[in-house]
Amino acid sequence: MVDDLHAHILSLRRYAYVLCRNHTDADDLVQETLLKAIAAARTYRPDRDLRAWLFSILHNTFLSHRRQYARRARAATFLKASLQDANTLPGQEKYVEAQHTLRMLSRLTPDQQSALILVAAEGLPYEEAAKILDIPIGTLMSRLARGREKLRQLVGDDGPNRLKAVK
Amino acid sequence: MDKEEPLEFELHCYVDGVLDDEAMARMENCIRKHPEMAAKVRDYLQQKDDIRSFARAATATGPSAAINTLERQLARRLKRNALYWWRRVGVIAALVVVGWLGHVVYVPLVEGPEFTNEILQAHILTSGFPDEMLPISEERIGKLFARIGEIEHLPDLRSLGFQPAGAQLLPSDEGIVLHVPYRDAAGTTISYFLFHDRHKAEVPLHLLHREGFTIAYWQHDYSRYALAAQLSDEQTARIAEFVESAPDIF
Repeated sequence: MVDDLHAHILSLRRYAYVLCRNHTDADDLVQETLLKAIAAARTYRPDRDLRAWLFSILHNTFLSHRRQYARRARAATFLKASLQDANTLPGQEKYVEAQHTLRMLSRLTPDQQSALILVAAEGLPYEEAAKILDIPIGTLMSRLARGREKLRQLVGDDGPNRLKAVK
Repeated sequence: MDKEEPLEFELHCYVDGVLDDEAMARMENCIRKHPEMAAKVRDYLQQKDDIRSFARAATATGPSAAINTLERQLARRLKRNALYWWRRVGVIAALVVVGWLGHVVYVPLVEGPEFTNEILQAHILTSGFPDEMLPISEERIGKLFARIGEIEHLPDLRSLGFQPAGAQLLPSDEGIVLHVPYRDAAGTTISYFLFHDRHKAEVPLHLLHREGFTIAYWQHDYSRYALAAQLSDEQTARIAEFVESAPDIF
């Protein structure tokens, strides 16, 4: 259980990074999560899934500072996108596509973002992702479906502008 | 709608690789037939790929020193907590065992064996309504002793002024009990109980009090005896000592 802690923290960092879209905020979020976990360690039951417990703390921490992180994420994504748009070479098109997807991801509701990131970035099973978000599995699937469809539309609608910038 | 057309959630299960081989093959068949579905799946997979490749950049650099320190602190806390939880489980288990032992040992000491409640009720009933008891005869007493698996020996308490007023068998949690109420000229009733135990034991005479009655019980070999009466401890103890050595009434 504790032996897997390091691997879980790597997962937390990935999840936090996609949520915050910059290393500084992601590290802050992980640090705050770990501080909260240390404070709550006495209440942790050893038979509970450690990864799900840590992710729940991180998710709730993110939600409580959502606006603050969202503003910074928007700024970070904007700055990165501007730099890329100005200097992108044709071989970097794929990278730009990924950046664009991430930029559009921030336009989804936080619930949809969390569902998508947990399943896509971390490859968590639906049951575990639902447990982390403290929602029924049906709600998770619904958020996932709506989030993906919305993201697809956003990426598609904004496509011509993006390609123009790349060219 | 095409009967074979997958549901929306199956599309996502396909993208996330949680379908079995058969379902995957069915989905792929549908995707081949429906280009719009193929486009959707391709976009969903691309989203996943984009998010994953972005996330990978998070761990391209190592964690900060602060995170490493916090990780070590958390690991220590969790290890200590695991010990604490097991200790707590151990304490709870010990309390349960102590409680159970206390119940098993202490309750019989204070309250007497469970059958004492049953025999007291029988005594109260028969002392209140002595006419309801069937009269005894040597033949009947012989049958009742045979039923409980004891050698026939009905104590003769006439020297103490008590005559047997009847006899009956009672069911109890511990087996069938022979009940013989004795009455004296003043109408005082003392109930004599006997049953056969499967285990040989020697239990000295115990006295306890319930609802204003005195109950005496003891065991010799396989025979368990009890008396119930509204008498003093001394009187009840004297009768109890007399019972085993008393001659057979027949």
